[in-house]
Amino acid sequence: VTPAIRTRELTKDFPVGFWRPRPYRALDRLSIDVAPGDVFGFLGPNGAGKTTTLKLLMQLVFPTSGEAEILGRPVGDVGVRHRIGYLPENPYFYDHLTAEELLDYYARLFRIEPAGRRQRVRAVLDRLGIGAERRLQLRKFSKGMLQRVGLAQALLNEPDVIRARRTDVRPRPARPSRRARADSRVARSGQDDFLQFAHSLGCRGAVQPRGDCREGTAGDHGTPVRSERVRRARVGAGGDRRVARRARSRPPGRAIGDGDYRRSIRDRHRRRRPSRTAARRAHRDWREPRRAQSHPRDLEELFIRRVSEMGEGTRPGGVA
Amino acid sequence: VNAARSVAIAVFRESVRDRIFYNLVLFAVLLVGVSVLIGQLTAGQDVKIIKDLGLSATSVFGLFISIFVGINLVSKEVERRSVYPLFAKPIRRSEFIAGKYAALLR
Repeated sequence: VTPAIRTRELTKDFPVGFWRPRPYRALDRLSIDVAPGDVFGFLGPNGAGKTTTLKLLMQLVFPTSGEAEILGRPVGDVGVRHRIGYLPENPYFYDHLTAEELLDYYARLFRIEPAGRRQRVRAVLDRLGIGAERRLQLRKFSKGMLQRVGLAQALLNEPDVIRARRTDVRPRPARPSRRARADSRVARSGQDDFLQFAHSLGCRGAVQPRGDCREGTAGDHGTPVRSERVRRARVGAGGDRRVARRARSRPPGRAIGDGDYRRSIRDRHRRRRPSRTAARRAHRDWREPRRAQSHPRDLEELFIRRVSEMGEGTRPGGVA
Repeated sequence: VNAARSVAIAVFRESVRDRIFYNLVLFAVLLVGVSVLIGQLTAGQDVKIIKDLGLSATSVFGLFISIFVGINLVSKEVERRSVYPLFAKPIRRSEFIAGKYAALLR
C-alpha cells in the first residue's frame, strides 16, 4: 500500500541574519510514513518543525533537501492537490467575499463543473451548519464561524477523494486542536503547541480513529524518536460493546445506523429480530464511546509524558 | 489558464467591493459641481473646457486607481496569509501571478 504521506530525510534550513546569513535548521531529516486511513498525531515542543513540515507538504515552502510524497506523488505535483483538503492554522480568507463566494472560488480552482459547483458548495455549507450566514461577508464572521468556513473549504473537494476510492485517505493537515482542556494542561507542562491531524471533524458518525498513532516527537529538531502505540479508546460505561466494536471497524466517516443497534441486540438475545422499541432503548442507553474517551486526549497524555521524559533532552544533541 | 481566470474574477470582485470606487463617485460629484462653476466663469468656451477637464481627470484618476489596486494585489495576499489555503488548491504560482496581472489589465 502506498503511504498517504511519506517523507524521506526532509530537511529545511532558513537563513537567519542579514549580513551574514547562517542557516537555521528548522527541520532535520524527518522521515515519516502515514498509512492510508491513519489519524496521525504530529506532536512536538515549540520550534520542533511541525508547522514547517506542513508547509513543506503543501509546498508553501521548499525543502532544502529530502523529498516528500503525498498519495505516491511528489508534493510538487499540482494535480495531487485535487485530493487534498488543507486547513491552515489561522484561517484567513478574503474579508470581502461571502462564505458562498469563497467556496465557489475554491471550487472553481478545483475545476468542479458549474452545475455541480453550486450544489457542492451548498452541501458542504449545510454539513457544517452554516445557515443564512453564508450570504454574509466574511469580515462579519466570528472566529468560530471562520474556523468552520475553513473546514468547509478543506472538505470541498471531497468527492474527488471518493472517486479515487480512498474515502479513508484524507491527508488533511488539520486544525490545531486547541480545546480549552488541552490548552490548560499542555500549557501547564510549558508547551503550548498542540497539533493534530484530525479526522472527520464536525460530522457525527463513526469517527473512531484506528488508534494507531505514531509519535514524531522532536528529540533532536524534528527527528522522530520512536513510535509508540496508543491504546484504543475504551468504550464508555453503559455502552453496548458490540455496537462500539462495530463502529470502530467502520471506515472513518461512516455513521452508525439504527440497524447496528438492532443487530447487536439480536446477537445478544438470540432473537431473530428485536422490536423497534428495543432498538430505541439500546440507542438511548448507549453512550457514545468515542466521545467519552477520545483520541486526542490519549495523544495529549502521551505528548506530555514524552516531553517531560525528555526533559533537557530537547536540546539539540541531547537525544540521539 | 482556467485557474488564472478564476483568480482574475476574484480580484475583480475584491476591487469592486473595495472602497476605492467610492472615491470615483465622490470625484464624479465633485466634477459636476466644478463644471457648473467653470461654465459660469468661461464665456462661450465652456463646453470645450469642461470636456477637456473631464477627459484628462478621467485618465489621471484611472491611472491612480489602477496603481493603488495593483500595488496590493499580491503582497496583501502574502502578508495576510490568504495564499496558504490558495496554494493548497491545484493552482500553480505562475497561474496565480498571471491571474492577478490579467485582472489588473482587465
